[in-house]
This record gives sequence, C-alpha cells and structure tokens, in this order.
Amino acid sequence: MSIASRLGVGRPVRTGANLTPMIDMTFLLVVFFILVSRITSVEQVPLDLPSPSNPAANPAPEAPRLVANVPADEEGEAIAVLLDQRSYRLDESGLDDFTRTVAGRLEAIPELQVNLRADRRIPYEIVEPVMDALARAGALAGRPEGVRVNLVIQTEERGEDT
Amino acid sequence: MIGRRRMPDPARTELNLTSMIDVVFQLLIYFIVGTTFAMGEQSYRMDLPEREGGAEVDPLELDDEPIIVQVLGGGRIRIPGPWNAPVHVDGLESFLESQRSDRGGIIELDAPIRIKPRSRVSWQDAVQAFNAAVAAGYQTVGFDESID
Repeated sequence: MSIASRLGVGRPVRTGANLTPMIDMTFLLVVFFILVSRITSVEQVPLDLPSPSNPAANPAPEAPRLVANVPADEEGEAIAVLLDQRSYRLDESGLDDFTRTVAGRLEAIPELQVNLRADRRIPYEIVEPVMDALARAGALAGRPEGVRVNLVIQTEERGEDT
Repeated sequence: MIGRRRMPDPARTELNLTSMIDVVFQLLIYFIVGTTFAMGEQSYRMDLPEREGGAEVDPLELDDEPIIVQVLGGGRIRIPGPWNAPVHVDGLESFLESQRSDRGGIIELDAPIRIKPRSRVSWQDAVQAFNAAVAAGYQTVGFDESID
C-alpha cells in the first residue's frame, strides 16, 4: 500500500462548520424571549399611562413588585383591576377579593412593593378605592409601616409608543 | 494474508440540523419582534394616607399638619393656608419649592403633602399635582380621600 493511498490523498475532503455553539446560543435567546414576553404580557397591560409634564426624578428602588393594572375602555371608563392575569370587579366584593389576594402575596414576600398602573383618563373616584384596598391589604398582612405603593407614569421619550 | 482483512469504518451518523435551525431562527425572530419592553415607564414612591385599620399611631407623637392640595379639575388647584397660593397646577411646583424651609419658606421638607382631588378629576390631573409636589423636593407626598 502506497503512502499516498494510506493518507487518503485524492478522497473528497469533508468540510463542515461546527454548529453546536450557535445552536446553543440561539436556544438560549429563544428561551429568554419566551420568558420575557410571558412576563410583560402579564404585567404590561396596554393602557394610556399618565404623563406629567416635567416628571420628577424619583425612581422607586429595585425590589420584588406586584403590578396592579387599572385599564380603561374606549370611553375612558374603568372596567376592572387586573392582577396576575386575574380580573377583579371594581365593586365592594371584587375589591375585598383583591385585598385578600394582595395581602396573601405581601405575607409571602416581606419586601414586596405594589406598582399601580392606571389609565390617565379614569376618574379619581375609581383609583381611590383601589389605593384604599392596597392600604387595607398592608394592614391585613400585618405591616406596621403599610405597603409601599409606586405610581407608574409615562415619561416623554417613549412618545406615541403606547 | 487472511488476518489483514480491513475492518469496516465505524458508521458515521449525522443528524441533518438545517431544518431545526431554520425553525429555531423563525421562533427567535417571532419573539424578538413580539416582545415589548416597558421603555420610558417610571414609578414613583407614594405614601398612602393612614386609613382606618391602618398603622398604629403613637398617641404621644404630634402629627404634622398636612399641606392639602385640592385638585379641582381642568388644571385648577387650591391650597388652603396662610399664603398666596397659585390657582393653576402649572404654578404648584415653584410655589411649593419657594415654601420649603431650607429656601426661606415655612414648610418642612418632611411635612406630609396630601393631594386631594375631586372625585371626577382624571387620574392624569391627580398625578400631575402629585408630580409637582415630588419635583419640588418634598419627601412625603400622598393621596387623600376625594373632596366630594
């Protein structure tokens, strides 16, 4: 057997890129975006947030948070409070239910804050009972200092994205 | 020679990954395009007023008298007190800033400021007044029960 034939000279050369790292990275990206889109669809209910002129820079500190959404329909009337894909009616029994749910969550996670996202058009008489319900939830969960509520607003650089 | 018979090559098994990569890229593009991040959203700390059944109150501690900012709708406000207060929300921030105790005014920085809107006032107007008080530098700003 000649040396040339033992080295395989003359056979077609198999060339191929190693795709394994690329596939790994792509799968990681897919998983990331799946999770993010799930979280944002729960928390970021599309609504028209209030956008005060000249917003003050007073961002809330990073902490575990619960997002309560109060969206409005086309006429600007509030429909319900949305929390974790559940909808609570804005009457007394619905808000009692809401209070108990928030209180349960507050007991489970001590440093939990509540972000309140409410549509800019709804009247204050709708938002006030929701804030009352959050305050009652803090008392129910046995927090002497009350529950930390953050108001979510729209700063101007986002423009007409909402 | 009988013993020099060639062993067969180990079987080369290879998956064809092309179609899987195609599908995964399709998924990736779908989720990239479909995901919206909450850009430009900001959250404010808010102090809720003490309601019934709320926090325990120390009976020996004197509460600061809160500064009440009544929001009447249409940008009109009223601040009851011994001062010449603005009647429009545009002047609220500069007024509250000028009344700060460290700027020669009479309101302490940690004095509670209560935003008290009318019940039919929109959330936008209520937040506008709230924002003005926060921007003026006060540390304890909250909402109160509606006027009517």
